[in-house]
Amino acid sequence: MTTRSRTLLFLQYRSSYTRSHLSRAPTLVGDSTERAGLIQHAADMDDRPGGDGSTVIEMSVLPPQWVDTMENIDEDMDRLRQSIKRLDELHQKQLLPGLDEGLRFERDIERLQAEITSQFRQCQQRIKHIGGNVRSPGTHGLPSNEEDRLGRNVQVALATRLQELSSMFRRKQSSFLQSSKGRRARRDCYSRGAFTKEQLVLVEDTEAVVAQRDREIREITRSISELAEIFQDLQTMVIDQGTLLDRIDYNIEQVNASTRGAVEELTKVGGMQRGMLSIAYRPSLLTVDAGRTSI
Amino acid sequence: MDLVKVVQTYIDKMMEQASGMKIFLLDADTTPIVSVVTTQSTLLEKEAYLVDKIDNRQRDKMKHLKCICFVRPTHDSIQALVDELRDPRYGDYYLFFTNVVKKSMLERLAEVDQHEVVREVQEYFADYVAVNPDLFSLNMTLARSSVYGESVHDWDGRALQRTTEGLMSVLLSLKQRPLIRYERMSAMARKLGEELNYAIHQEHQLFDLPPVDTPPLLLILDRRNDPVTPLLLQWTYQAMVHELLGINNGRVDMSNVPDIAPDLKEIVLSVESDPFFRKSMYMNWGDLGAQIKEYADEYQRQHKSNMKIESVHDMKRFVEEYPEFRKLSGNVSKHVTLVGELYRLQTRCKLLEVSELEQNLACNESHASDLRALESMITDPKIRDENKLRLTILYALRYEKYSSNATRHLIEMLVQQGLGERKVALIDAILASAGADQRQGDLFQNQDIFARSRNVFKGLKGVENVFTKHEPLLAQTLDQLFKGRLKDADYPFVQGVNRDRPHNLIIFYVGGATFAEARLIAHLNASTPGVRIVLGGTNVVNSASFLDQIEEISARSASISPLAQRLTGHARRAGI
Repeated sequence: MTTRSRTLLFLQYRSSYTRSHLSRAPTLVGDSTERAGLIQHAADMDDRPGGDGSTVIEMSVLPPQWVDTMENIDEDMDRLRQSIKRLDELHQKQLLPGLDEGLRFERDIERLQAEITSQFRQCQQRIKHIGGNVRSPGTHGLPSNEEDRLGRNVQVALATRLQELSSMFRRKQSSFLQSSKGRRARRDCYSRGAFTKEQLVLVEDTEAVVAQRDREIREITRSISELAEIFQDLQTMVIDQGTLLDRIDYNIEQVNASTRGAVEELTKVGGMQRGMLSIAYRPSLLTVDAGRTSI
Repeated sequence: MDLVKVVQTYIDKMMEQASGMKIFLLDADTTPIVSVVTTQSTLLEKEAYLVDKIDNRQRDKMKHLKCICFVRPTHDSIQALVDELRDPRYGDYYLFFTNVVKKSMLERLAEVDQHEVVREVQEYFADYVAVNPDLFSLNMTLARSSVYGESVHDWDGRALQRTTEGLMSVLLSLKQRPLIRYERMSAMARKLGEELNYAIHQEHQLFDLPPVDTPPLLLILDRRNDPVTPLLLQWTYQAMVHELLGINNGRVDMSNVPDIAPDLKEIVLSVESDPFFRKSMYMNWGDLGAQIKEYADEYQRQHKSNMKIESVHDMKRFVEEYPEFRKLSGNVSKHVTLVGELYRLQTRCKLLEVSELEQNLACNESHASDLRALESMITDPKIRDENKLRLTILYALRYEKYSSNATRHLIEMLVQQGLGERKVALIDAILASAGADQRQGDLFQNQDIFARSRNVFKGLKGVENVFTKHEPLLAQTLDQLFKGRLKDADYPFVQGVNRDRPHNLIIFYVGGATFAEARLIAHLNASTPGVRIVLGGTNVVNSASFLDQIEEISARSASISPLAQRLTGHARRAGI
C-alpha cells in the first residue's frame, strides 16, 4: 500500500508564494483588492493572510452549542464503560466458590447495576438534545440545513455507540444470570441424598443464599427490561447497517437533490423578481422609445 | 492482495490524520471508490459526520470542522479545490489524491492557500473501484467515457490516460512492479502495456520496491478475443444479477420489479456488509435456491421465537437478539425478493432453454441441430428479442467459417420477427470487431481437425451441468501460463522476459471483465496455494453493456468518413 507525502513540497511552494506576496505588500492580496476600497472592514475580515482571527470572531468559527453536550456524553460513556468493567469484576468474584463471600458483593452489585442503568438513561436523554431542535430523526426527510445534518449525524453516531455499549452490558448481565442459575441448579442436585450434621447446617445457610440469589436474579431481570426501553428508543436513531440508507453515495445524492431543490427554489424566486422588475421597467422604456421617436 | 481491504485501509489512514469532527469531501470519481468499500456508519464511527461532493458550492462555512478531501487529480477536481482554498469553509484541510499529483497542480494549490489551512498533501493510490476482494473496475462505462477512439483498434486519448493511471494505482496499492505481457492481436493492449511501462519508469521512485525472485506479472487482455463469455447467460448469483438486472457500484435497481416494496426499490449487494451475499455470490442457481431456503427458514425460526414473548426471559432474549434479528430480517427479505425476481425472469423468458442452446453454441460443434434449435427459438414469442439476437450472434461467431453457414438466413428471420435494423446490424459489427480474423488462438476449438476431435470428446463427457459447461477463455490462458506454455509470440513481453510461474498475477481486460471471469479467479485463488490473482477491467460488462460498446463504436466509425478520420487523426496527434 504505497503512499507518498507531498506535504513538504507543498509547504515549500506555499512559503515561496507567501514571501513573494509579502514583498509586494502593502498592496492587498488576491481578490480583496477589488473590494478593499468599498467595504474595507469586511475585506480585512476574510482576507487576512493566515490571520489568527483573534480580533474578529466569525460566527462560523464557533462550533454549535451542542458540542459541549457531545463532550459530556463522551465522558459519560467512558464512565459507563468503567462501571461495566467494575461490575464484571464483581460478577467474577461473586461466582467464585465460597458461599458466604457471595453475600458480601451482593449490595455492591445491586448498587452498581442501578447506577449503570441510570447512567444509560442519562446518556440517552442527552443524546436526544444533540443537534438542538432537529426534529424528525427518521432517516427520510433530510434536514436541509447543514448544521442540522451534522447534528443529526452526530446523534446517530452517539446512539450507535451507546447501543453497542448497552448490548455489551446486557450480554454480560445475562451470562452472569446464566452462571448463577447454573450454580443454583447444581446445588439443588447436591442437596438431595444423605447428609452429616455439619452438612445440614451448611444447607440451611445455603437456603438463605438461594433466596438471596433469587432476589438478585429478579433485580437483574428488572434492570434488563428497563434497558430494553432505552434500547428501543435508541433503535429509532441508528441507521440499519448495510442498507441503501447506509450507502455514502446514496446519502450524497440525497443531500445534493435537496440542495438542488433549494437552488431551484431560489432561481424561481429570482426569476420572479426579475420578471417583476422587467414589468416595472417597461413603462419607462416605453417613454424613452417615445422620446426617441419624437426626435 | 485483497483490494477491498487495501482501499479500506487507505480510507482508515485518511481518517486517522485528523482527530475530532470532520467533513469528508469527494469528487465524482472517488464517490464510488469509497462507497463500495465502506459505509456511512463506519465513517460516523471515525467522526466523519458529514460527507459531500467537493463541487457542491452550497456547503456552509463551519470552521470548527476539519476537512478531509479525497479526489482524483483531474482538472475539475483541482479547480474545485482551488475555489475551496481561496475561501476556506473549514478550519484545516487534509488533501488526499488517488494518484500522482503534477507539480504544476501542487503549485496552483499552494498559491491559493493564503489562509494556510492545508495541513497535509498525500497521494493514496486507491484509483479504482474494488468490486470484490479480487476484482477491480475503472468504471469506464459508456455513459461516462468510451474506451475506444475511432475504431476498436485504438484508444480514446483520455481513456488511455485514465486506464494507465488506474492500473498504476492498482500496482502501487498492491506494491507490485510487474513484467507486462499483452495479447498479440490487440493493438490497444500493446499500447496500454507500453504506456504503463513508460509510466513505471517515470515514477521509478514510487516503484522502488525490494527485489523478488519471480517478478509479478501483469497480463493485458482484450475483451474482443473472447466475445463469447459476456454474451452468455450466467447461473451464479453475482454474475446472474449483473446479467439480468445490472449491478452498478454494488447497487441494484429493482424499481421495475412488479409489486416491489418501497424500501426494496433499490438494494445493495456488498461483499463487505452482507454475509449472505459473501457466502453465496459464486454459488450456482441450484445451490443458491437451497441456500436461500435455509436462510429463510432460519429467519422463520427466529421470527417464531421472537413472536412468542410470554415471560420476562423471552423479552430479555428478544431485546438481546433484536438488532441481529432486524438485520437478518432486512437481509432475508432483500435476497428472497431478488432471487424471486431472477426466478420470475427465468421462467417467463424461458431462460433455461435459451441458456442450454447458448452453452451448446459456445462449447460444441453441431451445426444441423444448433441451427434447427435456433430457428425454432427465433420464432418463439416467449423468448425475448435480446436473447434471440445474442443466440444468433453466438451462432455467427461459432460457424463463421463453416461452409453452409446460415447467418444471412437467420438475420432475415430476425427482421421478420420485428427486430430493428440497428439491432440486427450488431451481428456484422461483432463479426467485424471480434470475428475469427480479429482473434488469436482458437476460441471455439474448431479451426483444425485435432481441435475438433478434442471438442467432440469434450461434448461426450456430458457429466457437467448443461448450463455451466462453458468456461471463459481465460481459464485456458491461465492454465497455459501456469504450465509455462504461454507462447511469447502470442503473449509478448513489453520489456524483459521471465517465464517462471508468477506468484502474483494481475489480469486486466481492455473492454471490460465479466463476473464469470471473476468467479473463475476467486475459484483459482481458493484452490491454488502460493498464487494470488487479481482481475480487473476498464469496467465489468454484462451482455447488454458489451453489445452497447460494440454498437456505439461501429456506429461511430461508420459515420466518420475516411477523410474525416485522417483529419481527426492529425488533430489528435497534434494534441488538439
